Amino acid sequence: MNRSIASLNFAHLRRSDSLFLQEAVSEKQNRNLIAQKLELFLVDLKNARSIDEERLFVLGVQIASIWPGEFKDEIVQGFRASENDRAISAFLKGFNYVSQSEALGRSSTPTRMELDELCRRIQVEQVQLLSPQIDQTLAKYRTSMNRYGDSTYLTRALQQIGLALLRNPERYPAAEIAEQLASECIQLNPRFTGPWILWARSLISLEAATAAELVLWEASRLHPYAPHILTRLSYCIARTAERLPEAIALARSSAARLPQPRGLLLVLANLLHWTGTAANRKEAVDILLGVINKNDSDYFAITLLAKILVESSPEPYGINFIIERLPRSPRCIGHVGQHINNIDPGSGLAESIFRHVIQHFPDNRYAPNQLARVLAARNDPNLIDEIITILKTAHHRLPSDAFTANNLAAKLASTKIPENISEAITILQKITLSGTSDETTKGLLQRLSAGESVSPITVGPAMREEVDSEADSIEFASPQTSKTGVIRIPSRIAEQGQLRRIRFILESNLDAEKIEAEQSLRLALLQDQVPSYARILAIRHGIWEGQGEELPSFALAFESALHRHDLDLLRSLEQQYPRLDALILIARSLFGDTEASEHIKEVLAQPEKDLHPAIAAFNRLVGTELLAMSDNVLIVSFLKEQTSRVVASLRDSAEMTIVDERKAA
Amino acid sequence: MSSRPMGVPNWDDTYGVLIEAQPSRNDDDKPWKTWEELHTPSSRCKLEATSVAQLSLFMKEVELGWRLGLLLVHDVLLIWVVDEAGDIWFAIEELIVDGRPTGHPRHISLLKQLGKAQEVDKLGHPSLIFCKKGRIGGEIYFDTGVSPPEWVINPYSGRYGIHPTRELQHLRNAANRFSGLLGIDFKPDETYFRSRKRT
Repeated sequence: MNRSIASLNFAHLRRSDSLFLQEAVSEKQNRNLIAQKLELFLVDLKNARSIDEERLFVLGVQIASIWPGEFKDEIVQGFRASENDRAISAFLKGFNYVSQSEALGRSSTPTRMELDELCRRIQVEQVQLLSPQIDQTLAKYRTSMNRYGDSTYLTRALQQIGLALLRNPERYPAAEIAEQLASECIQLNPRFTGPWILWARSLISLEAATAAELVLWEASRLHPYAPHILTRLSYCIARTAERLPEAIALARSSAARLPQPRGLLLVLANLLHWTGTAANRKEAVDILLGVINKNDSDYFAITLLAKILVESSPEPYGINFIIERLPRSPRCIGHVGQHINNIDPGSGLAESIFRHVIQHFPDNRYAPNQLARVLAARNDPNLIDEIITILKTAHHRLPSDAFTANNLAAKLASTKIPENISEAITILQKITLSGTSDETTKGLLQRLSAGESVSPITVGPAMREEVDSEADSIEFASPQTSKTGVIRIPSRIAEQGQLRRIRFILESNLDAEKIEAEQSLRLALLQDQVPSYARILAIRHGIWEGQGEELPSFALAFESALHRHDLDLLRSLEQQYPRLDALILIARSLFGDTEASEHIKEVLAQPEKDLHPAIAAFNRLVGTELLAMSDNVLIVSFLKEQTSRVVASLRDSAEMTIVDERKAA
Repeated sequence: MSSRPMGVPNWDDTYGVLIEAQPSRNDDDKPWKTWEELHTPSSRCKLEATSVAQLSLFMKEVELGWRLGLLLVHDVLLIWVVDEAGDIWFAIEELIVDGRPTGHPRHISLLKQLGKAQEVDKLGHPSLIFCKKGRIGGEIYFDTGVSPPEWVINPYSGRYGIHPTRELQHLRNAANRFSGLLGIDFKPDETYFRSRKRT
């Protein structure tokens, strides 16, 4: 077959072209001709509005595959002057790819232990000195990612190092590096929520609280089902005391909307407590009692309740009112007392609580010991007899309990009265003989037998039996006013974040803020290129009808259909966006299309891995409730009863698909 | 020791390990294009006996010189990729205009002209497998540059196919699976793998 260099089409190099070129490139004259033709092809693309850079990358790989190694510089040198051009840059990336990827070598990923050790050092050592080591470690992870095509280990390392940096007391440069790592992590995998939190925390450390807030608003748009983003955001807003009502409104509405609101309820209670008003503190206590009654081992709720009870003056409710509303569990009630005593040693509230437990649960072994601890914390010598009496009563009731016996013996011995010391020794010996003694018994007995003095045991066994998995996500700091941060984030994220906040304000009952939010939205609509999100909100709030204009994206067209109850538009969207059919079917069903409701379960029930992230998010918001329903009638009635929640979830999910169309324009 | 149950094929050996979609070369925001997550090609198919009967007839006719068929496949690509479960998914490479699918094939040589007026792109390999991790992938086209013309399969997916983890045997295995089901001899384009051996 007759072939010539002139007939080559670099838009798609076929196998036959590669075979021809392989022969042709052995001659310098041909190589020059090919390079010239290639250059013409690439330079011509400069005028194109869009360039398929993946295709050009592949072309680079194809040319590199046939070009003799010793002459590869001819290509690279020829294009060097134009390497900033997008088309040439994409081509060169491909051209250099094979040799670069071969140079990656085999696995060099640091071990888990190496990473842990580095993170341990980052937390305590000078970050400046560790900076080269951080760079080296991350370079190894990046190499490994390129080699194996999997960013899992790199993203994990970026997050772990980022969090360690934030624990370092040096704010600069630690938080600056953490911020860069978080940004890299988000680019690698925007589906993770962790890097967004890391980013916001870094920005707060850098005193860029405004930027942090916008990052969190944008994160809440991309991950509307994630309560931990909303809890962070609520706290971030509450950093400015005058915006506490907004933070409370956000926590309240989010808790009402999400199916797992526990973390948000704790935040709401805490924020209500921060306001300092009696009514809000009562509401906070009510919320916490509700949470504790669902899980009587909720350590964080119990701690927060204790904190509010101690810090509230006057008390929002009498202690008996609280006790009566706590679960009928001595352990739970005891936890509240224990935490009150931790915050306010010797507290009268704690005393009341333990006396209540002793009275109602006489076999509980912790309460008398904790009561003794509360009284001892007052350092009042007049109380020593009462403490001993309490412990003796408990010991009498529970003679084989080593913990009570040890406490009693230690307390007796601490009086330094010989009779008491003898009695203490006798108690310890009896416990030893009964076979229930422990190491403390043994130690006390040895020391008392040797004539040494002992102090009362001040720390009892932990009443806390369960550790909360959300430990890192709940913070109970007081509100503080921070400097207004300088925006350090990409303008696209700042803008989307701002619009997400406007959405929230317009849907809230914050009347004063609503006026300002609507003004901001109207301003956004006056821009030369109006952000898609602004148009969506304008349609939703009747500021702009969207009629007569092209609705280029799913989110915009879907909003228009929701606003106008437009079944025809919804059906047309279903044709255009089959991956988002679940949202469209539910919307159709809400507007009375019974045929649509018959298919809802079927589309929601697909394996999560096959669902578009917006549908997976909808499932997390309300879809699982629909899936649990046995028949179509129940689904229709659920949609009717919960219309506002379902619509809000549809909007949350659709907003995840918003793209910045101005970038494409 | 492998945790793979007895009797389950080792797809890592057959089609390469799972990798994430490698970043699209012109998108700094995320490893896939928005439309690749939002849409799947309207011509998307799983490679299995029931789905390829018509395609097989069509390809055989083209191979035999059916002129109308030749015109239809001119300048048009099939894209393919192997998913986590070892299934092969393929589709005609479809045209995206201003971020929206057209449901039309993308004609490679026409792109430059179109691109002057509108933002044009394609539904790439990630859209075949919901932007999930994938194994080897590439293109299929009818190569009229040789005599007789032939159906060619290559590993030229910038997202899943050209990667240090990919081997010639992965491409050959995919070619064999296509050949076995379609009854057509697919010629693997081995240039990339052979050059890697030289490097």
